[in-house]
Amino acid sequence: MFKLKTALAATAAILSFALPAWADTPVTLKFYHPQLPWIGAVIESFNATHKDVVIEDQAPAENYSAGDQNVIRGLMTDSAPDVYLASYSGVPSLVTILKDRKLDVSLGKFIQQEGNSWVEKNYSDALLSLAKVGGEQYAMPFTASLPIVYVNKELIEKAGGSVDQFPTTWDGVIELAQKINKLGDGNIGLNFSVGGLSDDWFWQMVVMASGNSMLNADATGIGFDNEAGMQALRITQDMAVKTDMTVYATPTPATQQFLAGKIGMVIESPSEIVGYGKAIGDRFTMRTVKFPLIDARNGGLPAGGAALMMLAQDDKKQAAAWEFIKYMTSAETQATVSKASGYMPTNKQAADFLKDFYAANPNFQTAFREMDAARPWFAYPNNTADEVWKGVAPVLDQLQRGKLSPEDAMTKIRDHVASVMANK
Amino acid sequence: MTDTMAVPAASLPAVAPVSQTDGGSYRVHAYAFSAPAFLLLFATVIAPVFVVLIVSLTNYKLGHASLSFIGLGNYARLLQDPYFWNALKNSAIYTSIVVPISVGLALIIAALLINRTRSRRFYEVIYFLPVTSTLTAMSIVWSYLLNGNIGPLAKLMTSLGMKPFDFLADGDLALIGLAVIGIWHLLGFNLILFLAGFTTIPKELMDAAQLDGIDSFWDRLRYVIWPLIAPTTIVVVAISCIQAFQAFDTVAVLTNGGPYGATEMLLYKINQDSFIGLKAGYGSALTVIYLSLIGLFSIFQILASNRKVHF
Repeated sequence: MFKLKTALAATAAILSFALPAWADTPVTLKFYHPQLPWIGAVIESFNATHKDVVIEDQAPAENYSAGDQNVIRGLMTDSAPDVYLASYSGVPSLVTILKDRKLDVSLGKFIQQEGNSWVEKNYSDALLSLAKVGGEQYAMPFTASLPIVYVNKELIEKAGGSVDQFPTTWDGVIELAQKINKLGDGNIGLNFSVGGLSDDWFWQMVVMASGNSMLNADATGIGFDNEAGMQALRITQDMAVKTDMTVYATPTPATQQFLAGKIGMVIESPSEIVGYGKAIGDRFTMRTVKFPLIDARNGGLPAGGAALMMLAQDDKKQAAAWEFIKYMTSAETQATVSKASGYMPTNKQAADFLKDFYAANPNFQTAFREMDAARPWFAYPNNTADEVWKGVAPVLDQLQRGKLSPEDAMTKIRDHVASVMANK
Repeated sequence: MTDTMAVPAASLPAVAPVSQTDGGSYRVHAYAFSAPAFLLLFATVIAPVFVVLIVSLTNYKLGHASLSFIGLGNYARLLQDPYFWNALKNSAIYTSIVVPISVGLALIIAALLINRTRSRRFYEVIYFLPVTSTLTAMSIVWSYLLNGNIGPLAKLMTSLGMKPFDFLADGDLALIGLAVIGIWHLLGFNLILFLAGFTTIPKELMDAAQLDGIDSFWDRLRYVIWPLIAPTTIVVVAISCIQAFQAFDTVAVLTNGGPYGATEMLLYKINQDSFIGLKAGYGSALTVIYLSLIGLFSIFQILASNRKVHF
C-alpha cells in the first residue's frame, strides 16, 4: 500500500509540474532509431542546447528492419514517432506506405525555406539523392557508408603483403589470401560470403563493382546479364573456391574469427571501425583498405547508412522536427557522429572539423577515398527486395561452394529475378 | 428459496447441495466469474485468429490503408510456392529430430534422478538452466561453440585427428546444428514435467517391482516407469512438438534460413513474408496453415489422453 501511495504522490507531483506549464511547454518530439551506441550523447547535446524542443529518445529498435516494422505498426495504430531514422534501403517502402495512408511528409518545402545557398554549403547532391524517392526529398542523410575491407595488419605482413600497397584487384586479393592460408595455425585469408546476409548488400557491392546495375532499365530482369556480370560471378566463385573459404549463411562466424585474429580480410561498413577496434584491443592491429573494384573505371559501390524521416503531422511539430533534423545533419554533429562511429559525415563542412582527426586515424579515411565510386543503394520496385534475394542468395552460396558454375548461376539468377519482376 | 428454508438446519450437510432454484444463480455466478477470462481469451487469442483468417483471403500489404479480397488466391499460391514446401519439410525434419531425443533423454535422466535424494536438486537446477536462458543471446554463444574454425568442438575434433564439422556453414548439417540447440533448450523443461509425473507413481509399486526381482535400471524403466507415466509422456510429446514447430530465434540469429534455404522453417518464413516482405495477406495464409498444424498436435494430445490406459 505504501508503495502505491508513493507512486500516486509522485504521479500527482509530475502532473502538477507539467500541467500548468502547458501553454509554453517546449514541443516534445518522439525520436525512434535503431540501436546505435553513440546516439544517446548526440540527443542529449541537442536537448541541452535547445529549450523550445525536447527530444524524447524512444527505446531503440534491434535493427533497421525491426525499426521499420515498428514504425509501420505505429502508423496503423496512430502511435508512430515524429522523427524516424530509416536505412536508405528502407526509405522507399516506408514512403510507399505513407503515401497510401496520405501521411507522407516531403522535406522539399523546409529545404526551400532555408535557401539554395544553405543547401549548397552543407550537402552534396550525390548524398541528398540517397534519400530521395521519385525525385522528392523524403529524408535527410544522417550517416553514410561505403563498404571497406578490414584487414589484420600482422597477418597480411606475415604473408608478405602490405597494407599500404594493398591489392587493387580481386586476383591480387585472392593471391594474398592464399598466402595467409599457407601460414597455417588455423589462419584464414579471407571471408566474404556474398550470399550470407539477410539482404543483398554484399551482392550489390559485387554487381556495382563490375559497373552494372541490379535491374535493367525497365525493371523486367537483371541488369548484369553481360560479360562484366559473368566476370563478377567468376570472381565471386574464385574468391571462395581458390582460397578454401568457408561459406557462411550469416556474417557472425566470420566476424568472430576476424576479431579473434584468425581471418586476414573481411568486408564491412566503416560503421564498425570503433566497435571492432574496442573488441580487438591490442590483440592485433586492425586496418581498413579500399574495396577492390572489378571494373576500375565504371565500377561503383552501394552507399549504405541512414536518413532522418519526418513523420510528424501538425505544423508546430514539423517545424520542431526540422530544427532537430537540421541539428543532426549539421557539420558539428556530423563530425561528432563520424568520430564516434566510423560513418562518413553527410555534411560537407564536417570535413574541416575532421582534418586533424583523419590525419591521426587513417582507418576512418578509407571510405572517403572511395567517394568517387559511390552509387545509391539499389531499391527494388514494389518492395520486392526480399523476394529477389530469397532466390539469389542460395545460388550465390552454391556458386561459392563450387557446386554451381558461374554460367549456371547466371541462368538461375536471371530466371528467378525475371519471374519475380513479372509477378510484382 | 422456500424449499431450502423448509429443511431443518441440523440436517444440512457441511456443503449445501445446490438446489434447483439455486442453480440459476450458481450458473450466473459461474459465468460472471469466468467472463473476464473468457473476454480476455476472446480479445487476445480468438479474435486475432479470426482476423488472420480474414486477412488471409485478401491481398493486404502491411501498413497500407486499402485491401481487396482475392478469395483463396493466397492458398493457391502457397501450394505452388517451393519455399513453403521447403520450410514445411525443414520444420518436419527439425521436429522429428528434436522431439524423440529431447523426450527420450529427459525420461532417462528423470528416471536416474528420482532415487537421488541429496544431489537431485542440484541436477534439476543444472538441467533447467537452459530453459531460463534467453535463446537469442545463447544462440550467439552456440555460434561460437559450433564455429568450424575457432570453436571448441572443432578444436576437439581436430585434436582427435578428425575433420571438424562446421555445423552452421554446412547445408547438410545446419539443421542438425539447430536441432542440437533446440534439444539443449527443451531438455530441462521436459525433465521437470517427467519428474512431476513421477510423483504420481505409488512408492509401493516400485518396491513391489524390486521384490519381484526387477533390479536393473532399464527393466524398471521399461516395465514400471514408462507404462505408468504414459499420460505425462503424451503431454510432453505434444508440448515438445509444438515447441519444435515454433523454432525461430536460432534461425533468425544463426542462419537466416540458410545455407541455401536448408534451415528455413515455417515460423521464420511467416516472419519474413509478413514483416520483411510486408505481404500480410500471404503471411496470414501461411499462419493459418501453421495454426492448423499446431492444432493437430493438440488434438492428438486430447485423443491420446482420452484413450483409457490399462495397467
